[in-house]
Amino acid sequence: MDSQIAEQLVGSVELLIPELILVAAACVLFVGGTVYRSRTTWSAAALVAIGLAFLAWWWGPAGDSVTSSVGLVAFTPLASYVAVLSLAAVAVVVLSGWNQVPDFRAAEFHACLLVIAAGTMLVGAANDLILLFLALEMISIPTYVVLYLPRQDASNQEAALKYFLLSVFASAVFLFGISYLYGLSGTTNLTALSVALPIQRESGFDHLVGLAVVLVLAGLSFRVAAVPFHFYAPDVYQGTVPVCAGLLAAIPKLAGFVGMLIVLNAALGLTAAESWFPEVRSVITAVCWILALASMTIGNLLALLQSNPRRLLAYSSIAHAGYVLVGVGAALAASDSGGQEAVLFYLAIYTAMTLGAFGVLGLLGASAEAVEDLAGLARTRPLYALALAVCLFSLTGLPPTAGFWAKLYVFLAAWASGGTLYRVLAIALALNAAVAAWYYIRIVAIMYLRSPGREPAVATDRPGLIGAAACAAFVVGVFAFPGWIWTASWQAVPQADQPAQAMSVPESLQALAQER
Amino acid sequence: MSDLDVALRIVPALPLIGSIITAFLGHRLLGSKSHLPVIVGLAGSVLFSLMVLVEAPGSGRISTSYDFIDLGNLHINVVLRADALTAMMLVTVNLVGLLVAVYSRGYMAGDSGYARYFAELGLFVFSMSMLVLSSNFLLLYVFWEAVGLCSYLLIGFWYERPSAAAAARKAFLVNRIGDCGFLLGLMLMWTTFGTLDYDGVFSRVDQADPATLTAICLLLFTGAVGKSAQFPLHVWLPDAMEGPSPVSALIHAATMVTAGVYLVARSTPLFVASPTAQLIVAGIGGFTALLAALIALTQFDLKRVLAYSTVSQLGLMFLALGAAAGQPKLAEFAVIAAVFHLFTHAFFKALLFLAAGSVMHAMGDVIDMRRFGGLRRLLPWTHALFLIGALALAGVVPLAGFWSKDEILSAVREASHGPYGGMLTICYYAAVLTTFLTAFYTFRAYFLTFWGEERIPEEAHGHAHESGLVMLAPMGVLAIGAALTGLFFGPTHLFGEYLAKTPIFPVLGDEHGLDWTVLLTGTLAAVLGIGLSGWFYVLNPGLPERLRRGLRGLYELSYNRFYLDELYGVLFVGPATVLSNVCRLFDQYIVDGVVDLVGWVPSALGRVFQPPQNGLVQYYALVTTIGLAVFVIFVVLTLRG
Repeated sequence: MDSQIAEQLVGSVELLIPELILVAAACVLFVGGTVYRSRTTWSAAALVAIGLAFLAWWWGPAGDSVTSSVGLVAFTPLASYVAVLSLAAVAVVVLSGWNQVPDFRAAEFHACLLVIAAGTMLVGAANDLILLFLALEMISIPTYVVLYLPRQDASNQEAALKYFLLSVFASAVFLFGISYLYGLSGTTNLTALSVALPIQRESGFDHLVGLAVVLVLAGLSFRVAAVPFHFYAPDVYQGTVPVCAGLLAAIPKLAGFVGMLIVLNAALGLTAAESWFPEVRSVITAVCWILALASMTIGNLLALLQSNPRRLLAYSSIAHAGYVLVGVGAALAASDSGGQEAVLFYLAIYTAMTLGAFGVLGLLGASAEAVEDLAGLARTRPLYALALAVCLFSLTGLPPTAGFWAKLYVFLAAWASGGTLYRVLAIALALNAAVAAWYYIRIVAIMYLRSPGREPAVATDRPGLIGAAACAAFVVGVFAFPGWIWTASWQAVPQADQPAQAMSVPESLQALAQER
Repeated sequence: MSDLDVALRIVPALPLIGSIITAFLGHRLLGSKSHLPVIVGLAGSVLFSLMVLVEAPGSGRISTSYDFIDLGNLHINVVLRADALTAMMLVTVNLVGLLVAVYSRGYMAGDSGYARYFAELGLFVFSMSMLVLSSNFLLLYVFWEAVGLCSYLLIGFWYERPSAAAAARKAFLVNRIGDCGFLLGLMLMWTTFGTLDYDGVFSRVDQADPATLTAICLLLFTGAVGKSAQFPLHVWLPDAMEGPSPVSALIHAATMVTAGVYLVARSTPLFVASPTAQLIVAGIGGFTALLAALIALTQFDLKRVLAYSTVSQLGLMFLALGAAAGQPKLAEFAVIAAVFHLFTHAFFKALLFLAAGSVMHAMGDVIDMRRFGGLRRLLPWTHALFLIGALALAGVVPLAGFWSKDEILSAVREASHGPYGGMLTICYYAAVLTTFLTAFYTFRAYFLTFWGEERIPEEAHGHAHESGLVMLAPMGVLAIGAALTGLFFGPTHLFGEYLAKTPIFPVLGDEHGLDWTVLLTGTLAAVLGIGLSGWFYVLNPGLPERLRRGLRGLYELSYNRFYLDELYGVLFVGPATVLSNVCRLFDQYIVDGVVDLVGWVPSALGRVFQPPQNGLVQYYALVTTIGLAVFVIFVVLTLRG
């Protein structure tokens, strides 16, 4: 490594201060946890670290499109969007987990959450396939630990192990896909890739590009729990505690879909004026169509049969992955369909509503092992019931909650993408939403219309309640004022009329690409 | 955003915020302080609506819009606008709302639904403010329904009482009939003009053909008939008195029921273009005024007398609204007369209801005038305040009712010289007769309640007492309004000049001086009514009873409200019950069967997909790999081939 590159690496540190703060705080927590055991202290410390990271983001080059000179990270509006979203999401998880982990595990638990937050932020900022992979692993590896920490019974350990094995498998598939992309373009830098790949347009490697993309897509489909990569979700969610299930339902989905958009943008040029590989793109569009339809339909149909609320929400999260995939597919089908914007908007809303729902389940602890256990919650715990009801209405997609806008935007994107296939998919989405209403509203009905069986034997958990209530309030608030998030998600998508990223490709890379 | 933009948004926002706070925190946290958020919010709204009152008419109108959704080709904006008419309504709604809320602080004290009451009250004022602030018919309709909902909730406030629950349901259902017409009117308006915006519709009135225009007007009027309790949909309002008295004062006297008048006044440009519709409005208004006054003559429930009186006074307003048929030049004067009466009526009728509530409060919730009497010594303040309200309602110089009623009579009389003179002349005499009857029944109620020997029902448990200051003070403010607003705004033409700045009046009318004939006729009718009532109920207490025997048939007709409720029962409710039973059976056996089938299909399908989820991680990996392989083969084969 020559001194110039070293200098540039040091220069890019400036862009990574929020992530560095999070990781440094995580180290403090790991070490501190060995000498001092207090869940309140370490939870509060984690919140402070998240707050500091947010401030660092705020004062940093937020919002400007800056790329580090070696091109590892790109500070695009997308990175900002993901950064804020992941910080907020992890903050809610910290609140939900506040009283859910034993004192002697608290430091490790929250330290892992901080690393996960840093990883998610890096996914949004990644401008290199290797960094993207590392960032995804930065989410996965602490997740294994987090799954293992709160409780050490057989079902929890089984859940952690299942997730670990299948997650490793998915990472391998993802890496395999990346290797093809590298082989085709000679670079792992995404900006360079988006220049180098189009040069292969005439060389008859279409099937290899398609293979690479479909492998990457499959690897990430595991993270977002799309059918047929979803099998782990119900077992793991049911086996673990609600706060971990909420984490699994929110963060990997966020990272997975953002990663999907980043790779698809670089490899196929989603918003480029002219498609690089029109045939590859149409095939991948079809793959996405199948993934979306299967995820929505199978997720919802199986959710209908569930009696355990966590398992039910697991299938519901599979169905939601399907809804978001409709947006991804719409973005693939037509550049100007607004699919990417819809995906980002959906992710923001979905993160809040799913964390809120799992947060309330966490508050109820062991007294919510079956949907029937929630009977009469409106009378015994009116605030819990209200927060859960709001999140469930939002998951259903009913006004006055933001879930309505989220579904509407995805629907409109699919409709606007033009083809008959995607219009059919839009209608399938609407039908699925109707089926889903049955099991969501049933829970609300049970909470509000049935008389309570026994008083839930749980102490009031103030931080957890704050987290869940914040999610519910967000969901209602965004219904009334959707404009700001919509604008942010709009800006986060590279528009067709401007070059995807401001950075120029190093000449050596261009030469390399042309050589091939 | 200018200050006025902010003010326009704050006026409805404050009661809403107060309502939300009370709704969520009232029951558990605020307890007996639940009124605070709503009262504070309303006080703020009054200040800001006064600001709107001062500023709005200067530039014709002001408006502010809130972009609810703005993306691609989907724009949903909520536009609020205020002109002179709106500003006047806003002040009335918020001021009376504030006074009623303060009064309720005393009246509702100790009720188990205290917080719920104030939350609903705040929601009502929000909805009513939004109704008058709307800039298009659709938004107007939305809040038209919202005030209907609040009315339903508040009539049925004591829902444990079967009579209150039934009254709430009746009010809601009868209103639905009118709303149905309103909605059809909106649809027709949309297909005719392509817009529902006030400015857009009014600027395209000439493009519509007269028959369509008449249809639109009549459909809008149907909505007004329901909301403002005009014949034949007036039957819900007297029953609505099952709600708490302050609610009757605010919603069923001063504000919500005048929404119909507001709607027709707001649509003046449409109605002016359709003399037929105007004539029907005037006819229905005049007929209702007389009918309700006749019914009010024999009722013994104090609040019902006032309710019929409200129906009757609203009838007079509609009479004025329609009076300009065939004489567009008269429209402005007539409409302003109607709105002026709306304004003064809000004060004295709210006052009367609050005073009736005060009586009820003292009498242990008894409201039948046969069971109490001679209360003027026991309730001196209530007595004085009721008297002011009664004089204002009867139309005695120089109280508020006199001036506004005089304007209505003048407008109708002037209209009777126009092309539809015959019918409007009849209406004029009906209005004069109504004035006489109004004075009579108002003072009948007054004398029965406050004169004669002192009688107190046993429900009062011997602790009948004058209401506290918290109830008397708002009544005092209303009494000042009832006494002075007419004198201040009427002869000085301040009100007319102010309202004329509303940009909806396209034709500037001529100056209208005082019509002495009308003035004297009206006053004479009022004085005669009061005198006759005094002769009947104070000087010769036996006379009414003898008269009742002599005119048994007529008495029964009036006492039983012309059997209209029974008639509706036979004509509409009966067949509807039969039909609904048929529907219920159809629903139970056929629809439910189909629904169950549809519901069964997804879960049956779900069972098909269930087996792979067997908990074995190797198996999961295998299925995943197969899935991946299928995708890979599909992609590679497609792209190669």
